[in-house]
Amino acid sequence: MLKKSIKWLMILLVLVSAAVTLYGWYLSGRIEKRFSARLWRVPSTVYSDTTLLYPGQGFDQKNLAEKLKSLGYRTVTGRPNNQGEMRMTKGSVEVYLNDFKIPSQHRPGNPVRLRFDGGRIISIERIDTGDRLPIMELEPEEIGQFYGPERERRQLVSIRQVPPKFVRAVMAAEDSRFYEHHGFDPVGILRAFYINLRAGRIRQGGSTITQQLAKNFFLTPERTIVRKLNELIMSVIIELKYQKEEILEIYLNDIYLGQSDTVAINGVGEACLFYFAKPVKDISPAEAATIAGLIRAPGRYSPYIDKERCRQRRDTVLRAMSAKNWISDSELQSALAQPIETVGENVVVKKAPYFMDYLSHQLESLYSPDDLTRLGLSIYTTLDTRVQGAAEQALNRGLMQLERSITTLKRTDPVQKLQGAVIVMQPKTGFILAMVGGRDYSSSQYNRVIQSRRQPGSAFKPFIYLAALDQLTLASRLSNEPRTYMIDGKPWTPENAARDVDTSMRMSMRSALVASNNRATVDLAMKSGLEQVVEKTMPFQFSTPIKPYPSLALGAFEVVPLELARAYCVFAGGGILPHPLSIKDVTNDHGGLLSQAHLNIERLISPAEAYIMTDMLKGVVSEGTARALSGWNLPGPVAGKTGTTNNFRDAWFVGYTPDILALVWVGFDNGDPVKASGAKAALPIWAELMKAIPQYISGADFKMPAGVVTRTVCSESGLLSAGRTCPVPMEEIFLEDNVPDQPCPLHPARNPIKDLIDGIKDFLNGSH
Amino acid sequence: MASKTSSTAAIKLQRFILGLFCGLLLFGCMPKTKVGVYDKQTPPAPLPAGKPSVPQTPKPENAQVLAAEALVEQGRQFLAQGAPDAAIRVLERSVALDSNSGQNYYYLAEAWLVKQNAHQAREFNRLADMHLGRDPDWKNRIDRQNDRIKDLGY
Repeated sequence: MLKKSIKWLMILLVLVSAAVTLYGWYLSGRIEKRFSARLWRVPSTVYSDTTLLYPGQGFDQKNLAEKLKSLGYRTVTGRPNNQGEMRMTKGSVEVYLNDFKIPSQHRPGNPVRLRFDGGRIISIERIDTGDRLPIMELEPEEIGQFYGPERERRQLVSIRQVPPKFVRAVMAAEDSRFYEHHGFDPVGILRAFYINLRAGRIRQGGSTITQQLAKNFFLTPERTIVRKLNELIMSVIIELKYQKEEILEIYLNDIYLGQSDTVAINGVGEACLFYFAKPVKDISPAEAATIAGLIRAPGRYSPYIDKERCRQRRDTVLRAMSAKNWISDSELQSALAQPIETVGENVVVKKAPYFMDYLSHQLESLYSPDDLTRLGLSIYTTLDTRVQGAAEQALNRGLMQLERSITTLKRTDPVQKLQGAVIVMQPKTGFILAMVGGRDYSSSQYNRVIQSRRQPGSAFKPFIYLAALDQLTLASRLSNEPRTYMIDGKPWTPENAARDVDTSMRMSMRSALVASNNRATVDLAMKSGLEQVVEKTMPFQFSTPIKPYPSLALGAFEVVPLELARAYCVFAGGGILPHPLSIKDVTNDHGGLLSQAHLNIERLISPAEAYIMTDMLKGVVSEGTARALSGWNLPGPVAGKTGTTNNFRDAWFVGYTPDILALVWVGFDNGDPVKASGAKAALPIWAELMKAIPQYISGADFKMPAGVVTRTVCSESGLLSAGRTCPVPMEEIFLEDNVPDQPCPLHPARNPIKDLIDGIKDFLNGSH
Repeated sequence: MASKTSSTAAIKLQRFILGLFCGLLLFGCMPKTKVGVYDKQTPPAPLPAGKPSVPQTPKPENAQVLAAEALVEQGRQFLAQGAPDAAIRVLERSVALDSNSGQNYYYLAEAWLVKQNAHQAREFNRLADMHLGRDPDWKNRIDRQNDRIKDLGY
């Protein structure tokens, strides 16, 4: 009987062993498969462009300090001795720059001093060598990340980057016998059991680092015997298959260490940046103990929630390290004496949400939305965060101001609210510096810069004038008389705006554009030929159809705001149509270059034509429909054009200097009237934006290129006044190959003898 | 002879004074030319009084040009080191600061030549020609660069 029982027991044991082996083999396969694949979804990170600084640039001390702060630089009281530190003194900023490495560029960190005077940088010098620098660059700033559904931030680090004391701190907090056990730790379990029994509550867990890893990757958080058995078997398998350092590296990158708004902070690499704005390699023992202490309960021990509780937990970890002789007594005392100094919680939010959406659209052909949330790409863009911030603020303030002055524009429903859009570009390169697609991303993600189709109104007029430049000149006369045109068999009579006080029946091309005269512009379009106008606007690559109707002269068809801004770049950039560029480089999670985009330009019109257009548009600002801009005291010349559509549905202003171009649109999504012109609704937003970014306004004038000549013409006929008796001759600029060659027919030729006699008479009569 | 000479000189002097008078009168009676809003040269603003001058600090309107030149120099160095991508990046920034220099376009063409991109090299060579073509030395360099672009098969 006993023999039989032993036999059955042996069979049972064999069967159980076989089952456990088979189950272990199955689990081993699962673990291997999981660990050999990509372990985490690492969101791709979007960065701004680098910031260029140079002596003479309009950049005040406060502005620079804010920029450095947003880059994570810490203010110190003494001279900055470590990377990432800065000090403000009267008239200067001292900063120890961080190393930065982006594709095609590596800049080692150096200590530099920038001196300021009158809102400008007056010098930049290396503190260590005393060398004066003609130019310096600040590293790119993080704009945001493309999160997956789990909304996790994670900065992957190699175990070689993690200081040994950091590893010891984590071990002291979670698993002090990590290097001694093989997956689970009976000694640890017994110790935890004893401590918990004495305390009468759960004070210490018995899970090893390997068990925690097994639980996080393969198991649910429920507390059952089966789950615990699985955890133990898996821990042993993990220990058998992987080195201790490999297990530690996965664990350190995996653990949850805090929360920023709705985004989880995972892994020690990300936590070091989130709490101390430092890379993991630079973390001190006290800081390491702070982070290690968070593992047990990040919400409870977060320094951003309860600093004192966090300090107590840190001290417990430090003492545990000391007890194990992992830090010396002096290190312990020094670390205990340190306060918890965090960088200050920057809620992780997208800094330019509409721009981020635009980027994901731009990247669509290369990476799927899913790739962007898991591949950990670094995307370097053209955005300037200072310009972006200024554009957002100017738009919000401008719209609120408009609602205050015209109270009927107010809407209670956030979706129905008055809207606006701003796009800022560098006209010579096409780099997009800022993009604001609406006043509040949380209530409307509709990006009006790229998705909306709106009538440009008078903001389209410059293209009508450009189309006529090879036949007519700025001095050519246009008709301001009321005239009726037939469109599809129906009569249409363009009217001038009520504000237009110029009632003269004939006016120069220049005056017509400066005053934004409707009748004269339609007359010009008809003179040029509507088909010809349409043909000449084709190279500007508007994606919306432009039909040869007389009303096209008044911008009565729809355009995409970004495309209109790009078209104006041709005037601002000397005749070159740039490709709007938002992404410069994309690298993988190891820094390897995946794709690059470069300045891509196309010559559309001659520099001379561009200059003539700009000269007219300068007139719009100095004495035309945008003359209100003169009250803003911007340095240097500005060229631009207002636009207002029928029934005040859209208000526009597109303005530029030689350095920067911005387009502002204001309107309702449903087409309700804004009851204000472009000059009243959009122009103040443009002006406020420009006032906030003096670093982009040098004050330099547009340079007259070859191919432009100046002639004196009669202000009445627009023809040459040399040798004629024209009462008001005036200087005008012309294309070299389209200069009037006829003398003024309205006024007779000058008679020198008569001039002499008249002169003597005047002299004697004392008229001089 | 002497008196004839002196009387001729007196007549010449009288004619000169009369001519000068008539000329001044004619000039004064000429209709005034209206100075429009366009093409007028603004005189340079006087320096603010009482402010200490800071050596080596460029005027704001020149600052960008000097910064652009510094970037062109960086671009040249990158090219010399055989790093065309780095050169392109800094030269692009130079264009943003000063698109009238032409040198940035010349070196951009050079960088694209190194990268064997004849199309881009040709575009920037054209722009360099537009801005620097009137300088004989630069014209010569630009033409030779153009020949190299053609050799590349453009």
